[in-house]
Amino acid sequence: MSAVLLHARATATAALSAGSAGKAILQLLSAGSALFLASLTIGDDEWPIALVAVALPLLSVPLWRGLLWTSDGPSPLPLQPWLARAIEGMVFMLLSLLVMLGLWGCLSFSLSDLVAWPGLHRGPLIVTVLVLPVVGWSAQLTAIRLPVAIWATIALPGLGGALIGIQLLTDGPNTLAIAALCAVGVALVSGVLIATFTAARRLTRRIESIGADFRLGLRDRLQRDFIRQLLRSLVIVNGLTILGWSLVIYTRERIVGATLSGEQEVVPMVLGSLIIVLPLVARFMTIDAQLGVRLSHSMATPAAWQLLPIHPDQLRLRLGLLWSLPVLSAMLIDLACYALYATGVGWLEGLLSTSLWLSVALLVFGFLVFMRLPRSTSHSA
Amino acid sequence: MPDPAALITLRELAFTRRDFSLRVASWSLQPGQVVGLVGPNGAGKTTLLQLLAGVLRPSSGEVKVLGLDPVAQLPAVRQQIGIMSDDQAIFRMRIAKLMHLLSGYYPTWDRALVDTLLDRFDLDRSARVDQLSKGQGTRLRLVLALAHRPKVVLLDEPGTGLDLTARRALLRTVLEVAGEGERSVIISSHMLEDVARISDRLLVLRDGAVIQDGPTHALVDDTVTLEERLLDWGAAG
Repeated sequence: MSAVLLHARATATAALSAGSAGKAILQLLSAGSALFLASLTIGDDEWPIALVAVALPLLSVPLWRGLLWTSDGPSPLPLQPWLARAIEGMVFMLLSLLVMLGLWGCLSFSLSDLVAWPGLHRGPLIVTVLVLPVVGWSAQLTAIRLPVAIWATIALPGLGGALIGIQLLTDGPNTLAIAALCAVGVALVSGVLIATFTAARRLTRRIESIGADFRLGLRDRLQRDFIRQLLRSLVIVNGLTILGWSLVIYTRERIVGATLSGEQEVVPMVLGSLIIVLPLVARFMTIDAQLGVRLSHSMATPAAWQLLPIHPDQLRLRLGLLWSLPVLSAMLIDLACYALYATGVGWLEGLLSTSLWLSVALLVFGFLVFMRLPRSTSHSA
Repeated sequence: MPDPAALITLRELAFTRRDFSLRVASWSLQPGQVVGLVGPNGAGKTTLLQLLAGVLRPSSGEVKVLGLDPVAQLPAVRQQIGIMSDDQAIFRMRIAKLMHLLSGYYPTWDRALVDTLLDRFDLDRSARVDQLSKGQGTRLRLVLALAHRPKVVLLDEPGTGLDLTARRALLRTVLEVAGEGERSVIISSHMLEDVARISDRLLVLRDGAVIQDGPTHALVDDTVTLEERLLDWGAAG
């Protein structure tokens, strides 16, 4: 568990320093992959902590960043930047841990039923899990964040998988083969996600630059931007949510079969990791929903909106819709899956419940963000 | 009677916040004017500029900018005025992306002018906003304030962090803006020499009240500097 915390702290701090949703997601994907591996080294009763430890940095990095860094410019702490960042990272982790424990207490299910300790030799995995924090810190200190994050996301879980694979060749049972393959799978899925989002973003920028040349009227353009961003958010969030749940539901029979045949909960565990990461990443991507500016930028510099020619109430309404509609619609999909497929399937109930809980947390997070946006002018503004 | 040609008119303006109050009985800004807004710290210079920009709402009285109420008609006013203060937050992104983003909010955004100003102020389009120096940030804020060819430009301490070359570029730019005839500039600064050099009208505030308002040449001449005048009026910082 200490390895998990060490890694989570490093990842959180690295994400704090990265300053953009994209980079934070990359780093947190690497955290997700690493925690998946780490989960194989911890006791089964610690699984909920591990899962929430993946999810909470994902939810709260921009939040704490926004709370601590209230305006454009240096950290408010009168310290060396690296020290200020380290302290913020520790404060962030402490707060996250408190929230995590609170959430854990709220969860009405136990994922420990899902995961049985596979009896894996821990050596190679611990090495892998210890490597990632070093990479995280190095990425932060050397400021070569993006390439290192990509490398950590894709290469290290692959390395972990390879290590397990080597172990398998010597003495591993069949379940370990599945675990190794799934580790590689996590890495590949992360890579595909990154590539997909990067390509989508580039395409969007291209379309935007073409559109900007036509010089539509301002009202038309803002309206068009708003509708386009909303549609894009809805498609991304719901598309990935449906994809994730379809994957799980489609393979449900296989999972049941694996459980009966003694392969136990390795497959649900891996799919669980994917299913928690996929929809939540998708929902987190709504942060990227823009009214020209990412919400993460708004959080970091809410005062930057203050002098723009847009009424504060209109701004809050639009960003609020951009934020909440995709998340709410994805929660409806969660509920539909819950009603249709989860009855009597404990692990699926657990996953869906987790997704719903964390979606609620996302909405709360969005609410906190909007609280920080500029308000209408007043006598005491 | 309100002056229909005036870009800004203030009538019986009062603004109160805790133990500070600002009062302006009547004042207007004509096209083509460069007004130097001077006074000690706490005189109300920034407050007045924020009232003009619709950031603050007057306690009483009337503020009209281009004939519009800057609070009630905020988007329309903001599209036609340029605001720059040395501590204004900017979205953290690359300059080129920032320019592209902001262009969507202003129908009169002038890309050619932006290119000219970025070159003049020696700003790298690929640089990230959060990695700029103090002086570079000030220059960028000035570019942002002018990029949409505003009819009224409000500058709050625009010289902060600028070296001599950049200050000259700033003064030249302000004079160019005002030289177009239909546009005006209000510049609030503690760099009194610069203010006296480029402004053709001075508005002197002290403790929230206007203590002098008139042509610069009538208040300052070759024998008396603006700094000495402010000392005489008890309005030196």
